[in-house]
Amino acid sequence: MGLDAILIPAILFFALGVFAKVIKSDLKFPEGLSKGLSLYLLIAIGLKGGAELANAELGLAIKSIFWAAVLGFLLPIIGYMLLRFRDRIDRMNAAAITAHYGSVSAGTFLTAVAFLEASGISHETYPIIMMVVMETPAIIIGLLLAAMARRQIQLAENTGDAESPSVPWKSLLHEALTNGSVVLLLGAMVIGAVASPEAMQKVYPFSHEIFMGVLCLFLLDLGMEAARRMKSFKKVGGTLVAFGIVMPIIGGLIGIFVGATLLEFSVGGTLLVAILAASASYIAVPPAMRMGIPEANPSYYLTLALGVTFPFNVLIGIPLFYSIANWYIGL
Amino acid sequence: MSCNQKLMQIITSNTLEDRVKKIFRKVGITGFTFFYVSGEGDSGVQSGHFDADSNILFMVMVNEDQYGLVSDELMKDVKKGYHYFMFSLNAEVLTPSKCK
Repeated sequence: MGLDAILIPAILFFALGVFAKVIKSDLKFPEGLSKGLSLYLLIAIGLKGGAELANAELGLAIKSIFWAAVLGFLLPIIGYMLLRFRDRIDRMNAAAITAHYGSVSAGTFLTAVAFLEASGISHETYPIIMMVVMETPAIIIGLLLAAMARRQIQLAENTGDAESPSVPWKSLLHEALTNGSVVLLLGAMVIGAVASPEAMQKVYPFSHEIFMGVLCLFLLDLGMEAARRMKSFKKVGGTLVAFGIVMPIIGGLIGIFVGATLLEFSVGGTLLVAILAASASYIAVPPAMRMGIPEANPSYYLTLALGVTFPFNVLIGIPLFYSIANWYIGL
Repeated sequence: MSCNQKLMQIITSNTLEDRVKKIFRKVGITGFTFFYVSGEGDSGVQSGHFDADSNILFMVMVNEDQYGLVSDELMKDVKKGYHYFMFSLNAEVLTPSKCK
């Protein structure tokens, strides 16, 4: 697999977005368009996935959900240990950053789907439900790590807990579980699964034919946003930028093991699990961290998720994990 | 008939919108205005692109008592790590019904 693997319109539009910002072009999207595009993409992927999941094996679906939850809980703990190695990053920022890496980026996942479809590689649809499941556990782990860190800081400083934020667990969990993207994706999947095939045929142009074009627009916009974030590299420092590359590689390799060995998916399905494990959330997790871990600096986790890990996964991670999955499954 | 009050302005993340409104309710403030705004500062770029990088600006007219109460409540949050940028201006309110 050479350079032509990433020469698909969606990825090229992402690169165009980055380029436009680098050359200081005045290219700009109308306000609210990117939110509209992401709503469409979630509906389309939900409808597609739901229609196919209607014919899926229940046992494998439950197994996928189980391993998605395991990944969601495990990855933030690995990330936290990496960030805390030799006290490089303080506890609060480490907890907030690592929660993003246990959750998922729908944009990266959709790019991987586009990559597979453009290359004519089939894939299982179970990773779509894994994506829904993986949104929440990392938020819980991030908040728990922060609560433990707060306790340790208080003990070290020998202070009471009068000034420490009480974590609004109820509202945070409610927000995580009823997050707009989770509701929309799950809802569209249910609709796709229960609607008759004839009725689904009527929305085929909406859910399939314009999908790639809309994804191109979405990635063009994200390319510009990622480039804007890259300006903050100096502020976040070399250690965190390195983490933004190392962590997706670790997550991706774990994802390949889960997809290929534990779930026995094809190369396509394994790539999607790898991308879920490698990606970092930039929509669902940041608001939860701003609310639950106010001590952490939002510019760190947003720069990492959008400015480092997202471009890395889109341009390098997807073809890299595909090659590794291909090699691993062929062993 | 006009009166003198304080115009408080609070800029914070839009994820804290409900938290600020709760404080207003707690001290008896029933009217306020807010806008979604963009900017750049300690928390990095706030482009308004996603929920987590959108800011909100509250404008609220308060009397001396309410001013003290709101400031105290917000400062408690600041000590916990929440990011609020707050400032106030002396204002002459011209609408008679707002001077009660």
